[in-house]
Amino acid sequence: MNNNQLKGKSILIADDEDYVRQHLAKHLENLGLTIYQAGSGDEALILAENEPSLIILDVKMPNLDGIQTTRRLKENGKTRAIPVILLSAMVQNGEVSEGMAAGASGYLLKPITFARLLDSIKEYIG
Amino acid sequence: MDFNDENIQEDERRLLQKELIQLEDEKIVAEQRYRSLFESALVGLFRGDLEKGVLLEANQETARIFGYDSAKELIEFFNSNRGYNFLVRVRSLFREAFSNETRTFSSKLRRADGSEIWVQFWIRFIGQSLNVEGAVREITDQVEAIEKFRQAKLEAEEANKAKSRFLATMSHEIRTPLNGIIGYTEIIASGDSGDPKAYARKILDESDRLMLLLNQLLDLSRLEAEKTELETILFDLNEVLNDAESVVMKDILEKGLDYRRDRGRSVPQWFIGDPLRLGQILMNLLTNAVKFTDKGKIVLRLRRKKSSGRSLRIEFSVIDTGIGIPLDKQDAIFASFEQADSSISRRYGGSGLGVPICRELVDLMDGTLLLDSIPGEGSDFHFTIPMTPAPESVKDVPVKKYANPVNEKLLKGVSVLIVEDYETNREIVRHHLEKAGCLVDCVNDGKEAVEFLLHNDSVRLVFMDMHLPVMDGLTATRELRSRGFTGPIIGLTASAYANDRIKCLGAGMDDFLTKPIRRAALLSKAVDWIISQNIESGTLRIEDKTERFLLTEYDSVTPASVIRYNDLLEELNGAEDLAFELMNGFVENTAAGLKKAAADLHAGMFSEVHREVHSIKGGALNLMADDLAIQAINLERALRDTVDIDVYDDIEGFEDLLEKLKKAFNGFEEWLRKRENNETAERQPGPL
Repeated sequence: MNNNQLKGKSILIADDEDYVRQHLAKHLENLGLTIYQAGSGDEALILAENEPSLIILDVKMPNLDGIQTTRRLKENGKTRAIPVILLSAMVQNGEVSEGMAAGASGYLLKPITFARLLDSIKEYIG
Repeated sequence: MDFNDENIQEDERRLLQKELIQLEDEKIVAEQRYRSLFESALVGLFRGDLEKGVLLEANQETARIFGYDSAKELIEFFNSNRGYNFLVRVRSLFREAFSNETRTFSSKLRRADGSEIWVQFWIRFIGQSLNVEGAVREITDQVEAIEKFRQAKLEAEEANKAKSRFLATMSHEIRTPLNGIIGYTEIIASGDSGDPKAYARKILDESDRLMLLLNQLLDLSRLEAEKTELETILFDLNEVLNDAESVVMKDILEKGLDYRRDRGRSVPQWFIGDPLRLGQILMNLLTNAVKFTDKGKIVLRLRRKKSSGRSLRIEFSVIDTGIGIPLDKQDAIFASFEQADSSISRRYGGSGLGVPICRELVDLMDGTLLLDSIPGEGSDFHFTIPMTPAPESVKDVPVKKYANPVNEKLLKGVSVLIVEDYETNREIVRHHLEKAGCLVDCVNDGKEAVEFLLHNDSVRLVFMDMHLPVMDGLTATRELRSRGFTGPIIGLTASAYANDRIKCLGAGMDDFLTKPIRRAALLSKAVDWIISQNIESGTLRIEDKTERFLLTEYDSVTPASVIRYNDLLEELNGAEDLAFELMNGFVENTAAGLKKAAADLHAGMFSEVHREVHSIKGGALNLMADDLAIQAINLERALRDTVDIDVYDDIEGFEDLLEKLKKAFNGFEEWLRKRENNETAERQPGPL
């Protein structure tokens, strides 16, 4: 397990559930990553201007949800190339295929753990 | 989908997510705690996979033990090289008992830098697989300590065995001549037919052999106790070689061997050093060479080697074409009390002490005695030592023979008293002296001696045993001196130790003889003393004689002269330049020597002080600087007693004596400067 490859990289995490977002952010920061935290899709769009290496979006957020946010990110030339991972609790509603169609690179099903997320992150930015 | 239902589901999901996060937090904390323990542990900890033969994990201490900067480096090295075969060993250890029990073993392994260390492992299996976890600790110090202990024990046992072997050899060596002595004596005593004179000569030969053995033993024990000091006197190298050769020449001729002395042209003739010790080494080596060579030749070779500084490096070699010494026996030759092969000792005789004595003496002279030998072809004993050549101008000085030739005629009609209670010894001394024409009286103890001498002033020479009944020899001598007896008293002692000699001279005796007493030595002593009585002042250069002269000539009332310059000039054949060269050199050395002696005295290094004072004494005696010599002798004696008995409590006494020595030196220096000024003044060219 080599976490050195993550050092100096940055990740944007958007989730309206504070305890999930903070838990993931805390352990990622311990690995030397820079983490931008957004409580909503609107905030995520603003913070994405920092051009992180990876963007993690919860699907179910009030107002601008994860899928809409993904679409907006992919419309913006500056953020188009940044891979997006979606976090979703629902499988049956077709959320996932909608998200992938919007331009997301992959998704993880909730409930989520840091260890699982870390494995995924390494696939995208290693 | 029911809205309410979805809400319940969502709540459950959130709850589940929260619990999961909490559990994950706890797990991460626990892992960190374990990791911290693992990493910072002061024993090496590791995990490995026996199936794959790889090391999975190791902590910093494991890396440190094996000499790597990090566990990562260690693991990479291990997994790529299989440098450590310990996994293989572990497997074999566990083959028989496949269990969870911890197994331990020690092993010698190579560190990253190539050095070897001893480590102890504790290893056990974890889980179902062939994974192991273990601990490792370095135990090199413990293993080496045990090894050292074992080695020391082995050496002690070996030394003990050598001692036993030595005793057995010695006992044989002593018994053999003793057997001859007793046997021939019995034959003579029984009055059987035969040639009593021839038997008696055999007895003498055997006695000489016994004597040589005892002297060698004494020499060696002194050398090993580091109590031997080298002289620094002027000597003629040719004479040393002549003397050494003369001992073996008879045997060389009898055996029909060729002999060659090969002294390199660049080896000078005159040196300053210890001719007797150098001669002893060469004599021993030559004796051995002759002993072990039945045909062929013996060469004594001297070569000058490259050297820097004032002293020369001279290589001495004694080369023979004898039986030679096998390589595996060569070490034993150099060890005290071992002869390579006891059968050789029986065939050729000898104690095996000759070479060890030579080795010690060469060591003392800052050299190393070496041996090249091929069995059946011969041996080459050689050593290179630094030697101080004598100053150029010395070459012209004629050398006086040290000892007076024994002219027994001088003893005719001389009255001698023998004080000795042991009849055999008394009769032997009486016999030799009477044969030489002396008028001999004998008494049994010190008291009788005092009585006799105070009533017979015709006695010109006294031989006095040290150990006597009623009044011992030392007390009697003191008594006689205090009553004004001035004739020469020669002590007879059974011990050759310097202590006895000092006791004799200290009590007021003039000289001494060591038992067993041989005819030649006895008569030569007697002649010496009669000559020195006949001639007003004997110019004897040998050191202890001069000492004796000095101490009898000047008592505490008459001050000694600073220097007998005329005598010195005579000694140097009138070479004033040389005299001044010698004196200036001496002053320079002595000033430094005294400074060092004072410092050493305060540091309690008595043997160092003794060494300094001894060489000052030697110089002063050679220059006939009597006062200085006497002060040096006094301090040297005080020190010698101290050095012998290891009791250092009279520093003040030493300081007083050192002060006197300094004063005497100042006197000498003052004299020299004054004299020099006069010389220069005289040599100034005057106006014509």
